[in-house]
Amino acid sequence: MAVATTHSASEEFRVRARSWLQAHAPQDWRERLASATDRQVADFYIEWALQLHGAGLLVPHWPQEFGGGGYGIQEQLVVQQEMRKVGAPRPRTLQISLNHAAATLMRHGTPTQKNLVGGILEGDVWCQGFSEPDAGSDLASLRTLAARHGETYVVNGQKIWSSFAAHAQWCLLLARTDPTAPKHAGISFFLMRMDSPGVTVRPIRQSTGHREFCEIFLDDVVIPVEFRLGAEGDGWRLARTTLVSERVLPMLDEAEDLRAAVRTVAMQIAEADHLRGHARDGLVDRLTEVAIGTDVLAASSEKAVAEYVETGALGATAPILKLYHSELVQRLTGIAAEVGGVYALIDPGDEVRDLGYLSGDWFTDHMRSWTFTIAAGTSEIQRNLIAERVLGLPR
Amino acid sequence: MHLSSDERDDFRASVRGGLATVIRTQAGKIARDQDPAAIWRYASDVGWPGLLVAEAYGGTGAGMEAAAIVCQEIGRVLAPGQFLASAVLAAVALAGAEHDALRDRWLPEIADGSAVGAVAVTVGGMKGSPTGEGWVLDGKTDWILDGGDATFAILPAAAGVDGEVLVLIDLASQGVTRVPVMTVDRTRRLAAIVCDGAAVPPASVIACGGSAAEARAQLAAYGLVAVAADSVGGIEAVLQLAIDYARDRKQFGRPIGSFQAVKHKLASMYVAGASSSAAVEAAARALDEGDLESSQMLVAAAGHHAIESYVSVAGDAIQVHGGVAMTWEHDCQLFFKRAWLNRNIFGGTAQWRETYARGLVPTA
Repeated sequence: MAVATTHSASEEFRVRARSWLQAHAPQDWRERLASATDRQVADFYIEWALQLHGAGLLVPHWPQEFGGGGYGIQEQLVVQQEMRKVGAPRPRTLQISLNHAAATLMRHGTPTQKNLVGGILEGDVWCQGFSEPDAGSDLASLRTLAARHGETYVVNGQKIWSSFAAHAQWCLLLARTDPTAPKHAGISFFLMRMDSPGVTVRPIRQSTGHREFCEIFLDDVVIPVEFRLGAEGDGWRLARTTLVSERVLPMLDEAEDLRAAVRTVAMQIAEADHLRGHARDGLVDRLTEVAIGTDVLAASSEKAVAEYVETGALGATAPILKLYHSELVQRLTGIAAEVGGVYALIDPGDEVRDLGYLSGDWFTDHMRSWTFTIAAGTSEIQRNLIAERVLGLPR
Repeated sequence: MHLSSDERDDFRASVRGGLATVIRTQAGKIARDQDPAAIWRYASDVGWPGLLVAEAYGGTGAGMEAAAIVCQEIGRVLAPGQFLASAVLAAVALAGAEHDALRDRWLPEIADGSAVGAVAVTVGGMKGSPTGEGWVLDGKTDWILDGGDATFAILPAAAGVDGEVLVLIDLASQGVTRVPVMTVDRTRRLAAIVCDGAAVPPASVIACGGSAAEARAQLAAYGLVAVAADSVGGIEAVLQLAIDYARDRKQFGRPIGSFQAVKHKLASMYVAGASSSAAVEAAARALDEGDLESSQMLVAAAGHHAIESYVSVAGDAIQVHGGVAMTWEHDCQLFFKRAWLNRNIFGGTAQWRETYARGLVPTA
């Protein structure tokens, strides 16, 4: 995406970012990590994040009081663009720490809670304890209970689909503090240490072979009152305010990754000797639709960035981005896996590394794409939100 | 000229407000008997015909980004008219003409709206034969968008060894007949041009040979983005009809808009419209900023996406309304038919998809 960088500060920043990345970006990291353990992969991402931070390139868009560079979102996008050019990895393990957790702490935290942001810049991994086995799309029906005992809460329950929980030091936790209140009103927001007694994490082996998601079992876990975020019963509102924008912001230049993948698949079709006639034309046609969709996504993202820079908020363009992006990824990876034939279906083995969602192992990427259409609000929930909040249709 | 989002909003509001004063309505709906001359008079008073004409010729040179906003608002109210043909296509064609004389003669009148040009981008059955001085045209151009209101036409013609020639022809000149073409889209006035030994002086040749083909490709790109912008306006209007209806209409004791099947359809229609709007805005800016080659893929993508979205959203709007939208009186059919004309005009979206595919996958 060509982000309009109108002022020269951005250009200076770009030059600085480029020269640092050219000198320091890890080489051949995909190959090196191919036989690493999950722990080693996580450590690699964290170590890389700390290096980026040392160079001022991890969180240029954060305010300086939190250790950021005090720049805007454009500079963050500049870093992402330059990282893509040199093939540098995104620090995936810190995805929640750097986006959702940091924004929540900065915006709603007490002074003590805000100090936890500093830990993120030293490599603290945060995970999110929102969903439960019986509370998915209907998240507000969650049943994990936090009972107040003096200056502490005692928490019991079970969380699921928590990415990176196996590596996490902290958890953004939603739990019910008032079982008698209406379901949205009885929920509070907690910051939970993952090494608290009574916390058990069990990684879930996914259909792709990855072990990114975890179950978290909570058995009489004690959380001090000072680690409740906001007021008791205000958890739902706090969760909602950061949920949408913080999910969308890091996505704003994903179209560029998709574009690169589209070009790769186009080359694979061009070189596929086994594809002829209508079979080839049909795949080209479907890829063309996805490529057009990718250009449209890029234009929509660009507009969202411009709106964000001008107004400080994501306008009506934002809710469409997640929906659009996730469905494009699903279609693209499906076409790519079809082009690959049986070669695309060779078993990758028991241990699959987390090396990006467009890794080029197209069938694995295709299976994984359902996490995008399901996580953080399914496509169906997104359409409900658009219909009710943007179009004003009755519930 | 690159517009900030505030400038875009202000300009859009003024265009929308202006059109509202000249579009006839009937019982809150768009009336079927619009007055293209009155709309054009207003447009000329406020300078829309000169948006793509350089200041030296009396225009504002604001560019396609601004013109696309006008197209979008025109599409929203299904306005008839000369804007797309004259202010966009004729202005662009003349700006690239070989001879200054042609620009000097016509651009000031294009800019102030006193002359109206219409442009064909397909050769069809028109043939040009060189004479000692200029060309003679024989044959038929099957349709020109907005040709019913034009003073002159810009036509491509097959030209034997020269390949093709792009010429300007005064529609009042001898040997030229204009025949109205009624399409299913009654909001627009197309015309066929029949030439029988019509003389074209050398000064009226816009381009010849390879440069005529290039000019035609450029005009098709502008035409595509213009009807894509028209489509974005149409999507927004027909979607609003469907939303309003889904809120009001009750079945099974509830508004039908509370049913998830209807809600999701409307949400998908909104996504199609919002993404089309962003894409067309980007494509219009690309035409203003870059050469045709660098903007070609984005133009094809945005045009294809917005127009195909219009066709599908207009169909979905009929579905949301149910039987009432199948009546002649209902506005849904007007949007649906205009969407289809947008789809098949300026090369057809299927052909643009082919253009895009050729740029994407190298052929063996």
